[in-house]
Amino acid sequence: MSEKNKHIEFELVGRAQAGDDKAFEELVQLHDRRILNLALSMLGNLADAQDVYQETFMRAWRGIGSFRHQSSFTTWLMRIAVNQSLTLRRRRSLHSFFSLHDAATTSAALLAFDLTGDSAADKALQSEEMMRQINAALDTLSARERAVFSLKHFQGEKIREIAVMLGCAEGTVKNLLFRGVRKMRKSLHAYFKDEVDVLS
Amino acid sequence: MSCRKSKNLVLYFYDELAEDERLAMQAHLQACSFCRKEFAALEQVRSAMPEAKVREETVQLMRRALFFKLRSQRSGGKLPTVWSRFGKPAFQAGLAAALVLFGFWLGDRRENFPGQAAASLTDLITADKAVAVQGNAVSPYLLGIDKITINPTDGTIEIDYNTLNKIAVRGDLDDPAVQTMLQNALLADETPSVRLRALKTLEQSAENRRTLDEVFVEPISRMLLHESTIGIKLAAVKTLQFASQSAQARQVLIQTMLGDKNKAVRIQAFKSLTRNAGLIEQLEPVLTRTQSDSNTYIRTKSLQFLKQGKDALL
Repeated sequence: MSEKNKHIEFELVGRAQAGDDKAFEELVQLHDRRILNLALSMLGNLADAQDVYQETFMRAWRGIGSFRHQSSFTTWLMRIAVNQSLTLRRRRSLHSFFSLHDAATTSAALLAFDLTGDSAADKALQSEEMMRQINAALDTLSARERAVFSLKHFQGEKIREIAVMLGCAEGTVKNLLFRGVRKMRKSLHAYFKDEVDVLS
Repeated sequence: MSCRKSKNLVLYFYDELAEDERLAMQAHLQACSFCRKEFAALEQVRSAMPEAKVREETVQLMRRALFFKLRSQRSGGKLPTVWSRFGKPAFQAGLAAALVLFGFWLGDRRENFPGQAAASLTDLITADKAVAVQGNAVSPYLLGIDKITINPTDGTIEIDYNTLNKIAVRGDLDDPAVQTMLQNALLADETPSVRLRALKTLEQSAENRRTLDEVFVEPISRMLLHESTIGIKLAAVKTLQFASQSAQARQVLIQTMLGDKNKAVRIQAFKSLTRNAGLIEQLEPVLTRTQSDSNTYIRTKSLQFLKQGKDALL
């Protein structure tokens, strides 16, 4: 974020803390794409990502008075979203009805990501197969590995920021990233290998 | 075979090394075939990943829902007790400001708002503060939609709302106020019959026009993700048949046809997709998949389409 934008954000936060609702809505507009994309990459389905999106901003709205600029507002918001996503993931796995492989999930993911092309049907099928493989690979990651992988790979966050968001040391983030990437590489390697075998 | 520097390779890949470490890793890559292979594999993983980017329409819809929720929560505490039992979804709160205002203008009369009134109504839908009427602050709350009707002869749509008064807005499907209200009804109304009525109205209107306006594809697609009432899902899938020009509508129908647990919904999705003869060819890979559907109708029809191609529709 540029210095100018940081300044704008700082001012908006101050106004929102003073009860200016319009300022809070402007903060939402600055950050909501990022929050939604993060939730989607962490949870793998749009319905849950929508819940996290709304809950994150409702919590931020209720808690903005207690925000003390110890981190940037963006990091604070992302931290709420990461915690919400981790909580939802845990709840889903506890109730054991959450599967990244079911059709509804794939459908939601396909719906969420932009997939327009010459032959929508053909592309949707290819993408569906690819999404299934990717979701299966992501499913092998632990909740924290997936959080780090999503933040780094999909959101392009810096490791030091991820450490603040997750409330852990940078070394821990590096380890989680290394393990996550290794698992992804291993899971997808078989798929790529099959693809090459079919072509040859 | 492995390399003790492979951990740093991941950090190099994500551009997380300090300059001196980065240069050292670059030099190492020249010499180490294991790390070069690993790096290529990481590139392969990166290229396979879809961009985690949600459609702009989705962001807009969700933002609108969030703002309505925030606004309704802000005004919630100030509402008179009588309103609390009518707690309605967030979407409707902003809309209510406009309608309450119109309600006061109209007194007890039930009134229609054709043409030019619609534009200002659309502006008022975004109102987020209590509306001052005759010196009193009125909280932006809506009791709900009473009914939605469509005139079969001229296609005019009428939506009756309850606020403090009964309000009706009338216009055709191109009217932005009518569009916004129908979108809100699809996405946010808690009463299933209202959601169903909105869909039926769209279906009938689309049938008359032979096409469904693109602005309704996104809300109907979103609705299908959350909807649990089978009748409403059926109506949604049926309505999407008129949006064959929309790639998103086709994707949603394909996913519903391949993945929905209810066979009636899958059959309707199948019918909606195959309604357009021009699309059959494109659907070949999908029809190959549906040949193994558990439902006999879908299996038989898929086979038939695959064998006869376009002629099957004649």
